[in-house]
Amino acid sequence: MRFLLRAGLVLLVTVAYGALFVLYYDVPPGSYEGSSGGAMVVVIAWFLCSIVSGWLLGRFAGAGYGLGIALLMGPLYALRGEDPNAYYFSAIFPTTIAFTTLFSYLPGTISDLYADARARNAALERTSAALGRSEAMFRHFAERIETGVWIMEPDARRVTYLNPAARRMFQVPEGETVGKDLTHPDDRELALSSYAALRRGESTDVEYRIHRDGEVRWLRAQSFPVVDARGEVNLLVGLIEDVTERKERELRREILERRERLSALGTLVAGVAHEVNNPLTYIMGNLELAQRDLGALRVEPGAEASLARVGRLLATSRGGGERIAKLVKALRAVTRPAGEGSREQVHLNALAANVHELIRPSTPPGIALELRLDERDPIVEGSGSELHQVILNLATNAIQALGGQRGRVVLQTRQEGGKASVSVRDDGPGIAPEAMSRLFTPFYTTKPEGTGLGLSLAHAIVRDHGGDIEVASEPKMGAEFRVRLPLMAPQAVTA
Amino acid sequence: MSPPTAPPSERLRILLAEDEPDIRQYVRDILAARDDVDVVEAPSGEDALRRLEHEWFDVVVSDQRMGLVDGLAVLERARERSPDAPRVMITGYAELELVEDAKNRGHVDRFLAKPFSPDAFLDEVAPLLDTRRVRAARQLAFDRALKVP
Repeated sequence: MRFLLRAGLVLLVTVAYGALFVLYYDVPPGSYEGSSGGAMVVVIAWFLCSIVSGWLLGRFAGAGYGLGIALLMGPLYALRGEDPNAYYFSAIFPTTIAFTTLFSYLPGTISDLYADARARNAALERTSAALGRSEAMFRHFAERIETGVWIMEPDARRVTYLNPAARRMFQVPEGETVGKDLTHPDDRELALSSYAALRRGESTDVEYRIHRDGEVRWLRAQSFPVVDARGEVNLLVGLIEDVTERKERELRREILERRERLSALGTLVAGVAHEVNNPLTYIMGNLELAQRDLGALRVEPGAEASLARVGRLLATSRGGGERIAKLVKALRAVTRPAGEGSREQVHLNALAANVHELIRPSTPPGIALELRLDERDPIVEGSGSELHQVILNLATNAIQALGGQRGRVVLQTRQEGGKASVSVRDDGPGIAPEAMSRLFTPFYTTKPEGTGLGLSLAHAIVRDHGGDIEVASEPKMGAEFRVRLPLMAPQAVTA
Repeated sequence: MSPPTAPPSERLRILLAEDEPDIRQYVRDILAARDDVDVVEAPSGEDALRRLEHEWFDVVVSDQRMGLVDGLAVLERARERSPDAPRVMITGYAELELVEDAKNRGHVDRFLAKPFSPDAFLDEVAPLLDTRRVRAARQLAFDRALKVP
């Protein structure tokens, strides 16, 4: 449309000038004054035409058209050299066209530019206000919620925003976005792989631990890339929640369930032990009485061999009975239904001897089971049956660690300073370095059918008793677990 | 009802409360060598309580774990009825707290853990019987001297 308008205009102007030239060439040279009024008319018409065409072209076709025609115009006038006025015309008319063109063109353009700038400015202001509102809204949320929020620009490689909750979680000072790395050493790998996945454009959701003020906190970190309209990642955003309470609840419930199962098992075994004990009393006693009577018996000549054989049979039977009696005694110690938090004096020597007695029958023949007792008879305060569980668990682990190979397992009690300890040492393959740091982590296990709770439960029990478990292991040199407990003060020990 | 009094005899009476017949027989066999002792068997705690009401015993031996009435109840009652008769409890279960408690409250003088050998039983019970024998003999001599029928 605009093109047609321009083309029409240019055509119109060309035709008008063409007509004017025809008229101009009809006028004799130099006859612009006096008789011939026609020449004056042509000049005036020419002048007016220059003004109008210049204005029209500048306004509607563009400055270029007007200036172009003005430039063409000059030489045309100059062609008629015999007219002394031709040179004036060739200067005046093009200049007129050029000026009118510019005067008609420029103001329009300037006002357009001005209007355009105003419109842009208004749009910018609207955008800026919307951005401001959005920013305020974001801050309002981010500064108040308990969930930690961090934002990272993908190229920055460091956090560009941390909300106050995240600052508190990671102990990052006000005004900074990077603090000390508090990630638990065991979870660093997890944190790094999650970050790598995030950078690849995947959303992640992991739970990991940090060390803060000497305690371990569990965090749940959900992170996701923010993708723009072109599909490019322009922000990485993370939400962090402290889930320590939930984790601890889960753990407590698990340990409680485990204890309940053990306690139910204990009741059952205790019942069986009791039932075995009753007949065992008179089996053993009767055998002994029979042996005595046998000693007083006189038999006919020739039957002495039978008498001696009966004596041997009775003695062997008693030996078997004594083994059963020992086993039942050991079982009773494990399963004595100890009330929650029951406190008694626990003789570690008796405890170790008992565990030794209990696992001996099931120890493979290639394994030498040794018992080394501290002659000072270390005594601790606590639940005998729970501590028994712990040592039994460690001893069973040690035997399993040997995996059917020949080896040695040593149960040893010690008393040193204010501490008493029971240690279980094996000379098996040792603990793999990567397993070392996770030994007491619930649900962590290296055994195919393990629950991963044995050692964590042991740890919980020992901690309840104010003690700790030390682990020392060298690959191929075996492992030693030492349960260290506070020694009971001698004056508190009652007979 | 007044407490039962000692009959004028040199024989000693043991009450044996035990629900397991084979153990009762075993205890009888252990004591078979002693011809001065009569073992009175109570196959249940209830039966033991009934006998304690009417009969005189020099020593009371009871198993702890029995049906409705346990050993502790039997020995508590024995203490009321015959305060001088020593009380022995047989525990089949390592009832440490119970044992401590019973000892502290004076219901029980001696404990015998199952399984026990004949010697272990005699070690606990024989000294009690001997003490009772001396007392009984003294009482008998005293009664005769006073001509109490």
